[in-house]
Amino acid sequence: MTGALLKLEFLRIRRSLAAMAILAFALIASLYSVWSGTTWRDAHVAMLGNYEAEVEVQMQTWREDLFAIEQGTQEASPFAARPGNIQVPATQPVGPLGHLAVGSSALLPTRANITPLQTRMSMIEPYEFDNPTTLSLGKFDLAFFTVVVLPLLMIALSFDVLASDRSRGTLKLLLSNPISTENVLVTRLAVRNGLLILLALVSILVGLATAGEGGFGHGLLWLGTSIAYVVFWLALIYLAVSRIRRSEATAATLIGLWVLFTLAIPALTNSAGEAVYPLPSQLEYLSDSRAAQVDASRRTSELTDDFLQDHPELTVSDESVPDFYSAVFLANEQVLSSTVPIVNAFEEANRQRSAFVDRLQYLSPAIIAQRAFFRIAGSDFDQAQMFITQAGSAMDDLNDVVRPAIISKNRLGSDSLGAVPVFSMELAGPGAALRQISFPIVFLLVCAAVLAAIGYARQKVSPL
Amino acid sequence: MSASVIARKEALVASRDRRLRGIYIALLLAVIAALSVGVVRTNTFEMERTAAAQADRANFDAQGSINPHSAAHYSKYAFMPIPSLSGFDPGVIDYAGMAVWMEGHVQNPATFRRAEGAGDLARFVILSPAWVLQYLIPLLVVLLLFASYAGERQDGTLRQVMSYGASPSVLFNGKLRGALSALLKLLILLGGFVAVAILAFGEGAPQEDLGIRLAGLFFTYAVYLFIYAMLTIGLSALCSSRRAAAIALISVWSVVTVLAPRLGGDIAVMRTPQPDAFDTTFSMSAVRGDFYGYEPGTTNVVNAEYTDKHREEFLATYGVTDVNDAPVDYAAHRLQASEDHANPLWDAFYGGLRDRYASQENTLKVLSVLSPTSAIMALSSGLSGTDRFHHTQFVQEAEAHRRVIIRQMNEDMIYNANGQSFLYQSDASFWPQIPAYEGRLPSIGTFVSSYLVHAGILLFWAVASFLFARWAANRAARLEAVK
Repeated sequence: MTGALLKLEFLRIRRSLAAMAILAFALIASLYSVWSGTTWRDAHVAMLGNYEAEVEVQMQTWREDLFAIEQGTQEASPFAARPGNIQVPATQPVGPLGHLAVGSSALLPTRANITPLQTRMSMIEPYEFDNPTTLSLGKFDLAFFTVVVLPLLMIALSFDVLASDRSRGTLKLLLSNPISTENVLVTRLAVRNGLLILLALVSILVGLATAGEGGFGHGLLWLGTSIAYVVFWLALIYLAVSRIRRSEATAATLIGLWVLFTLAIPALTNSAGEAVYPLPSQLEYLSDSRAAQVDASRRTSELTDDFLQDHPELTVSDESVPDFYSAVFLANEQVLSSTVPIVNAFEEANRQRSAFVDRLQYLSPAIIAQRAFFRIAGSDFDQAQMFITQAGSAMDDLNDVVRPAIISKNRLGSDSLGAVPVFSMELAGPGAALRQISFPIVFLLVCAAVLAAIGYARQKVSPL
Repeated sequence: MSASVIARKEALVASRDRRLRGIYIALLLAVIAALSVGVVRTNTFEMERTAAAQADRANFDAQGSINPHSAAHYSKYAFMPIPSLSGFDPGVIDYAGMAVWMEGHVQNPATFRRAEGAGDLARFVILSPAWVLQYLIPLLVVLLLFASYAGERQDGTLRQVMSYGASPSVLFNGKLRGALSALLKLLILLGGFVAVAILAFGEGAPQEDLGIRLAGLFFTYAVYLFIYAMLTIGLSALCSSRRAAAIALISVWSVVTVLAPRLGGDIAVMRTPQPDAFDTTFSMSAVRGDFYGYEPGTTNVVNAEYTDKHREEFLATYGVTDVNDAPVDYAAHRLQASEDHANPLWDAFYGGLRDRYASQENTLKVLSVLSPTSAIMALSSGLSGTDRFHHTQFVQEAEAHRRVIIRQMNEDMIYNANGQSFLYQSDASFWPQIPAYEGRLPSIGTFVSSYLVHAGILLFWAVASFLFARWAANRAARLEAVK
């Protein structure tokens, strides 16, 4: 009988214009989301590559100047091949699945110019050029499709799984066959959502096929998270259709829950996070940094009085070029040490807020799924923070290498070039992502099991 | 039977629905919560801005005796005033830079976007009264009216009503009056909350035309909810059962309100990509060094055309053969000449960026024909003073101010350095004479032409949805009459 039921269900879907429209929309929208994300990723990767290539061109000239000076083959400008001019390009790599969840990558800095003449604040390359209107609307990527759109489509396909038969009076006829209501319910839910999930799976597989290197492990995590999220919604729908008899009431309840989980709770959680753990004001950070800058400039005034950092070519005589670099370097170190407490306070506030959201994520499956997708894709806020921190550490390493040469007003020997750090940010591997997301995902599955159990019990006590 | 009797009956039925009453109260609470969050956020942001502006002033004034060009590089920041109405609709406030560094030589982009500190949840929505009105209240309208015709058709009461002599148009007018009366009461209540909260507790930067903006918002949201009411009545009339009506309307709500704006934004960016950050930075470097003939990104001189020309003009102006014989400082004069040279280049550079934004927003405008929510989002943030146009106005004002203060510092060096150029130091008493950026919020009239298309689209939706509802209602009544 189950086979006949399956056939009947497939036939009903094929004949239903609304169901076919929903399935077609699911396929088109999910494929579009992958395409949109891939387009963003390719443009972003190209931008980062161009930046690194440009810095490399400048460093190649720098190295050639250094070799020429050491070999005495050419008379070089006093500014040439100074250790203060070493540049190390730092870029935050796009994760293998970065195109499926753009996350913070579209908003936060992903390039930094590490050089001894910059401070931690000024090393970030300008990046705030995007249109705020479109930025505020967000990206239609696969993470958005899965977290927000997919449950809506599941509800649209499933809310009247039994009620339509009841309203037509065909349910009793159906149940006169050797088949239970439970069987009808489960078969129908499985067929309707199975088709939808299959189409979503096509898009996920297309997304994984266009993933970067090392995407297999991340892909498995993505699939696992998607499955857990879908299972949660399936269980919720099962519970709703088991408890509520009227289809419009079922639809209203499920839509209400969808609004609550995907829109209202995330919005409230965001507001609660802001209220309970307000970040130190960015503007206050700016003011404090600038005060430190004035202070540092004043304290190193005996060194910097005669120079303008931005116009060494206009203000520094050839013989005092090494003094210039030394003065600027010392002034920057002064600013760096003065702003350490501010930076630490900022990082601590970020950590506390992130931990707070970690706890509150259990209020909404949408938050759990989105955070998991961002983490798997390497596009979460923590990764962006890590990039800034690692770029700052790389600046410290570079300063350690060039400090003796700059302060002694010499050039770095070409034999020391190997000690100049090369920035390479390693994104968290699938293992690290798994550790971060496993508990929330298990929680989601446990919730799903509880919801399904309640629905099953309800079915047993009061069959539809 | 008259239309008013039908309207009263609609109100009675709605008031008896306990579940609906619960949703109504929940949404009112949501608006109050959102309003509280919004007002507190706005007040905090404005307080931070005021404090930052004061600190910036103090830092700048405390530089002591330094060269004016050093001060021009340290320079000042312009901070964007936060309007009180951002407590109602934050618009793009969180995604647009709140501060502009008014540095010598460079028109820097606005920096410090608040969304950057919000973590991963920033990609979800920000709770605000505007969001509740744009997303959730339409859902309430749907729940309130989805059964208006479909329910009566399903229960067979539509024929009964008509048998009392109610014509299709009387029936429609009655339903319409009932819906409008309920919506108006809701809007007056919500409008009252918003006005009281903003006027009594809002501590944002003053908006001189606040009354006009509030009235505009009231009218705009009234039209938006009218559209939803008409769509709901129309679709309800097309459906023969509550179930079909509920499904059709929830589908329309999901697509029009939740999916279309996000998809629209994405399509706009696919059509006109965001500026490439590296290319943009590189172009800025080229503009900055154009006068001095620097190779972009370096200080290697590859073209001395403009500096040579300036030198010739300088010598001719002061009738000397050596720049050191001129009565003014040559190096400082050259600095100001480089500013005058770069200003039109910056205008063209940022004009190009704004053209790109406008192209994206044009796509959004076209797509808002498919979604009144996209149109209301643009109008609501515009009326609240939190959209991209208001932000651009701030950026342009900051740039105008930058040009004034940089000229002031250069002129101090031009006329007082006496050939000492970069060794010259201005007295500490000079810095307080450099004016601070006093941001004033523009009036809505400045941008009214930018909103005409969105307003037209909303009105089109209002007329079209009304005609659709009337047609569908008359059709349903006729079908029932011939049964």
